[in-house]
Formats: sequence, C-alpha cells, structure tokens
Amino acid sequence: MEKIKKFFYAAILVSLFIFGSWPIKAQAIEPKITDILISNNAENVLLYARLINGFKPEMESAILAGVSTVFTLQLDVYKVRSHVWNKKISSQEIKRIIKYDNLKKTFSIYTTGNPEPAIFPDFESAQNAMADFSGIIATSISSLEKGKNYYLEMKIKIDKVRLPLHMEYIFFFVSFWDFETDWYRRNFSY
Amino acid sequence: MEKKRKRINIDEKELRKRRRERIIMVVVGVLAITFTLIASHLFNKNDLPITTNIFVYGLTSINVILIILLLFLIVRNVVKLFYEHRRGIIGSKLKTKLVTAFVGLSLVPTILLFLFAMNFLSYSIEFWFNIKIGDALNRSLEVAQVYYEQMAEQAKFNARQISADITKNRLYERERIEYLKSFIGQRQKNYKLGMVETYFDFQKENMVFADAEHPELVPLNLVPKMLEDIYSGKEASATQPTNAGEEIVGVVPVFSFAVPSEVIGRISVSYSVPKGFVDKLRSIADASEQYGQINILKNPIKFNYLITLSIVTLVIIFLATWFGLTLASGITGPIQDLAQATNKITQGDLDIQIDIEADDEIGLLVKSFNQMTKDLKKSKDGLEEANLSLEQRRKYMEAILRNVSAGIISMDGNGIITTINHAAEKMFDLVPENILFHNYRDLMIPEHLILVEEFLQEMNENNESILEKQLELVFKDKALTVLLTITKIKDEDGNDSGIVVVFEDLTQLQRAERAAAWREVARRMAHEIKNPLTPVQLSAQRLQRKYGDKLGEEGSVFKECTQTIIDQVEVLKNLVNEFSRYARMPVTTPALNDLNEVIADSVLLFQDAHKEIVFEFNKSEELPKFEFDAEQINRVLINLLDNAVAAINKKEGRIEIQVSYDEQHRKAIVAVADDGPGVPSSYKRKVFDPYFSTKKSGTGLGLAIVSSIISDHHGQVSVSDNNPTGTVVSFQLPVSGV
Repeated sequence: MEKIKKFFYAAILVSLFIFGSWPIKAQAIEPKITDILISNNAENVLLYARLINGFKPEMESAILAGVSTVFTLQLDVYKVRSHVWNKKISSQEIKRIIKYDNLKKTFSIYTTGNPEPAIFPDFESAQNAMADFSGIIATSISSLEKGKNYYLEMKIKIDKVRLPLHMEYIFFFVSFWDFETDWYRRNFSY
Repeated sequence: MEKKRKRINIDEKELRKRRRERIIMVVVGVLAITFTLIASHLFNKNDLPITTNIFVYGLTSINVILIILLLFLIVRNVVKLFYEHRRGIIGSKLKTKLVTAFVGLSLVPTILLFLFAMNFLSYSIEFWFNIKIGDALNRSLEVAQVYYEQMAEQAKFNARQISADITKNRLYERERIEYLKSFIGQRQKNYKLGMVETYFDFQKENMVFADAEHPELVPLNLVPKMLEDIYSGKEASATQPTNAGEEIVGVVPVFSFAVPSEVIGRISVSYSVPKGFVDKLRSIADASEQYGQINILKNPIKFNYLITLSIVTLVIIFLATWFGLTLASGITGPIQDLAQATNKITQGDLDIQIDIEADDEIGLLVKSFNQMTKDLKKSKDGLEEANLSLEQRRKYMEAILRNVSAGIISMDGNGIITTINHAAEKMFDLVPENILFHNYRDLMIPEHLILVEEFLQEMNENNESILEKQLELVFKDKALTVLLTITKIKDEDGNDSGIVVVFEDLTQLQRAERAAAWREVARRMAHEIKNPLTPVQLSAQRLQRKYGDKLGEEGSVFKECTQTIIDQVEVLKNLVNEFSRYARMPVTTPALNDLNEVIADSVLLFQDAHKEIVFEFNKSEELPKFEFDAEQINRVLINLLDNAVAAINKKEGRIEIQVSYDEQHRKAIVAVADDGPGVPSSYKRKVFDPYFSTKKSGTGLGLAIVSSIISDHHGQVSVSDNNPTGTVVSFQLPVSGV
C-alpha cells in the first residue's frame, strides 16, 4: 500500500514536471540579436542591431491572416561605477507592430513615436524592416560624462499575439507566440 | 450510577485523515472555481499590462494544479476503495457497489453526450469552415482587391495618357503652361478624372487640378521609395484616406521629349472611393481576415472544445464518484461502526455507544442499537449481581460444608462423587483429587461396596429417601463408629439426581459414653461389692483363727479353703479398688509443664526396670511448655509403656517414644510404638473399653484410664499398627496456655 502511494505521488510530480517543461520545448529555435553596433552623431548615442530568427513559420501565417505582432526593444544604458552599483542613465522601450492589410495587400509597420505607419508591399521587406533596429537613439550625448565607461543592455521580446476569441490564453501552454531574447550587453566609453 | 458513555474509537487516525482530506477537497474545489472566475474576468479585458498577464498565468497554472490535485484526491480515494475491497474491510463491498453504480449511471450518459457533442462540434466547425464559405469570402476579398487594383490601374492609365500627351506636345515647357492647364481640364472633364496633380522638376510648386465633384481629394505625400521608383521610370499607385472615404492615386513619370528616358516630372491621377463603399470593402476584408484567422485556429479550437468537454466529462465522472463515495461513506460509515461495535459487544464491552446523529433509517438503527446495548448492559449487570449473590451463597455453603464436623459426600445419579467436604476427607484420610469426579463403585473396597448397595437397596425397597445407620468401621487401621445418613436428592420433577451421604463420627462420643457407663458400673461395683468383701474376709480369717487348729488333719483343708477365700477376697478387693480408682478419677488440674520432661521421667523409670528392652525417646525441641496435668499424663505414659513392655513377649524388644509438635494445629503428639505382635483389627475398637485386656493378668483398665485422662485434656487417643509389627498408641493434646 505504501509503495502504491509513493508511486502515485511520483506520477503526479513527473506529470507536473512534464507539463511545466512543455513550453520550453516549443522554443527550439532561439531568436538572437546580431550586428550590434554602437555609434553616435552630434547629439545622440545610436544603436544599430538586427534580430534574426524573429519570425517563425506559424507566426508568418498568423500575420498573413491579419494577426498583428508586436516586437518590443528594451534598451537600458548604464554608467559603470567601480565602488557602488552601476547607475542606470536611460531606459526605453520601442515597440514595433506589424499588421497586414489584406485588402490592399500591404504590410504596415507602426513604430513608437511615429504616428504614420511605414507601408510595405511585400512580407519580406516588411520582415526586414521589423528586424532592423538601425539608428535607434540609445541616449543623448549630453547625459554622458567624458572619460567614463558605459554599457548598453538590450533585449527584444515578441509580445503575446492577440488571437481572436482570446485564444492566446487558452493555448498558453503550447504557445509559440511569445518569446524573448537574452539580454545583450555592449560596453562603450565616452 | 452515571453510565460512562464511550465513543467508538474506530481508528481515530483514519477518521481524522478522512476529515482532513474532505476539507482539502472542498477548499481545492472552491479555490479552483474562484481562480477560474477571476481569470475569466480578467481575460475579458483587452489591454492587459504585463503584470496582469503574469497574474493570469499564475492563476491559470494554480488552477490546473488544483484541478490535478482534486483529481488526484478522488483517484486516491477510488484506489483506496479498491484495496479496501480486496482486503475485505467491512462496508467496502457496499461502498464499491454504490460507487460503481453512480459511476456507471453517470458514465454512460456522459460519454454518450461527450461523443455526441464532439461529433456535433466537429461537424459544426467543419460546416462553418467549409470550402464554400471560405471560397466565397476569398472571392469577395479578391473582388475588393481587384477593384482597388483596377482603380489604381485606371488612375495610372489616365496618368500615363496625360503624361504621354504632355511629352509628345512638350506641354511641360514654361510657355505652354496655359495650354497644359486647358488640356488637363479638358481631360478631367472628358474622362471624369478625379484630382490631377502635376509636378515638373523645373517648377517650384505642384499644379493641382482639383475635382469639383470630389473636393475631399488631397494631394498624395509620396514616400521616398515611391519617388525613387517614379524617377527610375516606374509607375506607382497608393491609397490614402480622405474625409469622404479613400482616394486611389496613380502616379506615373513624365519623360522629356528630347531625351525620352529622362524623367522630368510626374503626373498623379486620384480617384475618390466613397466612404460607404470603402466600408463595405473593409467589412469584406475584415470578414475574410477573421475567417482566415479562425481558420488557422480551427484545429486548436476543436482541440480546445475537446479538452473542455473532456474536462467537463471528467468533472462529472469525478463528481459522481465523489458523490458515490460520500453517499457510500454516509451509509457504510454507520454500518462499519455498527459492525465494529457488535464486535466489541461480542468481546464483552457493553459500554459502547455509537455517536451518529441522523434523521434517517440509519439513525433509527443506531438509536435502536444503542438502546439494545443499554438493555444488554442492564441485563448483564443484573446477571452479574445475581451471579455474585449466587457465588457468595455458594462460598457460604462451601464454608459451612467445609467447617461442619460431619463428613459429607455427594454423588450424582450415576454415582460420580461431586462433593466431598473437609471433615469427610479427614475422617477417611482421603485426597480429594483422587476421589472427586470418580465413581464410588471404583473407589470402595468390596466389603464396603456390598454394605452400600444393601443400604441403597433397602432404601429403594422401603421407598425411603433418608436412611440412618450406625456403623462400626475399621478404615485404614482406624476403628470408627459413624452415624451414616443417606439422603436421596430429587429434582423439581421428583427424579433422582443423586445422593448425599453424611458421616457423623461417633467414636469419641461413644467412647466417652462407654467410659461414663463403666465408671458408673465401677462406682456401683465398688459400692455394692467392696462393702460385703471386708466382712467376708474378716469372717474367713476368724473361722481360720478359731477353728483352724481344732479340726486336726481336716484342719489343713479348712485352712486352705479359708486362706483361698481370704486371698480371693483380697484379689477381689484389689480389683474393686482398681475399679473404685477408675470411677473416682481425680479432677484434672492443668498447670504449665514440659511434656518432654514428664515423658522422659517415665521413660527413665522403665529403662531402669527393663534393661533388656531398648527405649528410644525422641523429644520435640519445638514443643513449648503448655498447660496439662503432669501427674495424670505421667500415669498415661506409665500405662502405655506398661502395655508396650507387656506386649513384647520376647526378652529383647524395642519401644519408641516419639514426641512431636503440630504448630499449625497447635497440638502435641505423643506416640508409643512397640515391636510386639500387635493388636488384631477387631480388637482395636474395644481396646479403650474398661475390662478389655489381652493380658492374662490385666484388669483391662489401663487404656480405659488413658482414654479417660486424654479425654479430660480435650485430646484424642488412637491405636494403629506399627511397621513391620507391633502397635502404635498415640495421643494428641491441645497446646494451650503457652
């Protein structure tokens, strides 16, 4: 009797473990940020980067079916301090939303701070535009001190896609819609 | 007396566990429902912050875990029931039947409903997503898309025509500007073009030819990509919203007349699409879009419904199981309690009470059971009291039987000895273990058995239930005079169920009576005989003195005769004196004396007189001094030793004098044993009678005097055979006044 009891507890634990680890398995292809470059113009520190593996086939068909998808770039700049913890100088979030207009067969990309969407006649160019994070203002030059070291941390996440009938909540266990990259860090000096 | 009410202690631990489980199940159920409600409430909100999302995930996860826990608890109960059934625990069979019935009853319709609902849903979903509807929507969308495309193509076509005419006629030249305006106005009018816009590189501003019918049309802001296309010689089109709907703009490049590949400007033609039409097209597009979205979720939706229905089915089955378990527990619990209580009652615990409150038949049963237990307890208490009383009476009777001086032996109808009291054991020197529950016929010697059979026969013949007989028995070298009373025991129906034999030892009594009678005889003899003896003797002496010398030769005969008379009278006088002494035994005057010393004195006297006989005197060291008449006991010893010496015919012999002390009964025992020829069994009863002697010269009063003295000391005297030959005369004296 005691053995059976133990077996049951073990079975429950194993099933919970399998259940819990399911979404991890769904994220086999990890999105990455590449070609990270930090530059500057006269006023600002600029970030150039590219997201790869950001679109999965299931997402593509969902976007073509009119489902809007949101990429969020989380960008933090820290000042390196030797004795105390590093100081966060700036933090910003840039959202990019892609939406397909099936009537006009165009892809509109809305970016934070820009009310007018950029319209693309084909999916490839729209995907490239979504993945291209060029010339993003990381922080202003004026907020930096000369001779100091800084670093930039960034990650991109894809928000949960809004499905009709709130299906995204029902399929949350097997969701392939939401993911995020690791934090990427780049040091720079001024 | 307040009755102690005891609650059944049916595995208290298990009960607590069950209660705890029930509470957990209820709490888990309530939590699952609450979390589901909260989660579903939050889902209805559109713009959820990320924290809420996490919260929702958390709630949903907890929900799933709670449901799993709930299922686990129910499954655990079912498994437990299965094992209880296998182990044959009371109530598990009924419980299993009830649960099986509930599960069976709920399973069949639930599964039927599940299958029907799944088929229905699949069919419905397939029906909704059938190809015709999808095709129709796609076709509608294509129509809308074609409309936009055609409008754009038309705009571009007209723009292209205008562009070609401008190039051909070089209307872009500054001096022909008026002609250009007229040309475009004419075209606008003839071809019902919307707004026309021209731009030439050498001009600073656009020329906009507004459409009077569609004043809402506004110039298009060209994006760099579009401009790039146009200046590379490509055509472009765009759509932009207006106040009254949308405008479709076709933009084409204007080439130079001199260098046909050189783009020197651009012409755009705009058409207005009314808002109502745009909305219609948009709704077609939206419908198609939604259809497309739902179409890609068709299988997940089906899966979702399958999961939902499965969960509902499982919940119904589990609820039925749970309900079955609860109901079964409700029924079997009291039954189990009743069974266990019954077990306890069979083990003798009548204080048990089942503590179950119920208004149904089970409650009635429990009440009746408790009442029955109380009644049983009352009856048992009554029986116990009666038993106690009976036991007390039995013990009392046994005490009476034990202490009564008469010996009592009872036998059942078959002659099996069932009772024997202490007096009987002592009287016949019996060991109860060898007697009890044996048939008297197997135990008695033939001589006694014949006697008993005769008595019984006599009783039967005379139809008497009581028979009294005085018997003189010699039992194991002891002569006994007993008064035998045989009483038949009859049961309530008058049937013989055995006999009770009462033996009353009359030996001592008879001996005392005999002694008294002999004393009376002796006294009379002394009185009646002694008085005439002296005149007889004196007369004989006088006759001898007066006529003895005168008779001459015949005088010798006379002398002999008178001398014989004188001598015999002397003998007679001695005899009468002996009897007179016996009759006038002095009153016993007890004083504190040492028995060992008294006996030693007597023995010493005899040792000196009879050197040829070995006297062995074993005194008792434990015997204390006690009260007795030393002179009389000395006389007893002299009598006994005299008898012992007389019994030894041969010159050499051995006489043992043994003194012992029975501390338990506080008795001094003196035994005088000789190795003479012994006393025949038939004489043993008479040896203490006066004038009974086996000696030729004995008066027969020695042992009578011994018996008399010992009786005066409240003691007992007995005679038995010595081993291998001889006689043992022993007496017991109570040790008092220590």
